[in-house]
Amino acid sequence: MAKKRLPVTRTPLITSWQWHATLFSILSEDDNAKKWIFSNYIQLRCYNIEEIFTGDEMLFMDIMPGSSSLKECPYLITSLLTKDQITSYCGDIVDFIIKTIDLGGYVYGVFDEAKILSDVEVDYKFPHELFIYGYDLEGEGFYCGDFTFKDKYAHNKLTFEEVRKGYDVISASEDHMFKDDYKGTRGLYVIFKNTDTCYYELDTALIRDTLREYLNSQDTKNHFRMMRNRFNDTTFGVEVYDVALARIMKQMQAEEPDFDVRALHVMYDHKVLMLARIKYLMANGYLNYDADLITSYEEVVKNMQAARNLLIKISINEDVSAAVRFKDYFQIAKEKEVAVLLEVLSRLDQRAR
Amino acid sequence: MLYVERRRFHDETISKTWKGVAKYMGKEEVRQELIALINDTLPEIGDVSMDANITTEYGINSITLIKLIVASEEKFNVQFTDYELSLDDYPTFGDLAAIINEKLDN
Repeated sequence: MAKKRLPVTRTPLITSWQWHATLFSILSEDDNAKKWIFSNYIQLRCYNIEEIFTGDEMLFMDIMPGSSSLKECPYLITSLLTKDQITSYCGDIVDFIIKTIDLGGYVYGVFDEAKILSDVEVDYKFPHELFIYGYDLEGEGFYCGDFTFKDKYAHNKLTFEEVRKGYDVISASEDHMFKDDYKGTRGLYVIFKNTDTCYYELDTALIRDTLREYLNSQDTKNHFRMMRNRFNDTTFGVEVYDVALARIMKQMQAEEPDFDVRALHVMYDHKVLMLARIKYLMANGYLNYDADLITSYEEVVKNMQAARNLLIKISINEDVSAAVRFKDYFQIAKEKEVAVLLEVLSRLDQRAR
Repeated sequence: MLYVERRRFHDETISKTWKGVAKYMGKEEVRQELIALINDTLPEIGDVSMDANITTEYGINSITLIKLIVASEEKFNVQFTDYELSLDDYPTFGDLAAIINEKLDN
């Protein structure tokens, strides 16, 4: 077959990080998968890490289940293959990816995007996750989803040679995907969509428990000790508002403010998904329809979006006097969100009695 | 007066005059000036169509849009509220021109 593109949505419900953009590209429009998606992605967490590319300290924010979602979602069948396996089974990475796509498998892994972005040889690397969902044999290219090439999540075509170059040079220590899994090796994920049968029903018990944990900023890392027991100093739940705000206000006071907006992209996506969840629960009879509740949560989304966009604007025009307004949007979003989610939780609890 | 001071005086005078003039611009003038501004601010875009979708056609994201809004505020002497910075509100450059016109009319 000269060309093959596996199904992906052009408008994933959320993107934020590459693992979310990948999962939501594959599953956003699937009714069975929505049952798992809306049962999860409620708890927020953040902690400081060293930025992979710059070495600077950054506030890493994510919606749980984070990057492990690709392996744990029952509507995906994900195999972790080491580089040695890939070489042994197929010899060539380009052949491997084409054969995988022919079988209906998406490919996800860390590639050196400096080699892909630059026409000339560069002496640095830019290891980043790439999502590959199709190929064009005549055009000798792969269809990919990524944040790097257009400074936002977008679909692009990369040549076979670019992908080969980007794959070959990444070592185990640079493969942060396998490093995050504590596997310490180099490899790729092969992902199959597995949505024909309903393997997972909407879990209102999990939604109620996680909403409670989110609202109480409860430390939930102990739920995951069976998989990993190395933890950073993590903040959970609505307290992430305070941590993110404190960090940004500190940056505003710096002589040359330099903002990292990524944490706010994640927080905004969290609100977008929560609004979709509330509407889903109402549409499917888990909550009674209540237009006022929807309108109130839309205010949360609107204020978080205003906060994020204002921070981008401040980073462009350097007008830090707008910090007061930024703080207001943040606080309005937090207060309104707590009020709406307490109401949602109370109504779900009542139905469970 | 030093050259740099004269230059600054000249630029500021022109800028103030321009901002006064912007208020009385017609829709076509706003359109032309916005196209010039897009070319200055985002030169990678090339030929500008006011009707094309700015995300799919030109790859505009939140950051590049807000960059353009900041430049528009300066150029047309208008102010966008913090709720008017969303990419969803401007499917095309024509929609951005419409908001600028609306602000100039008020």
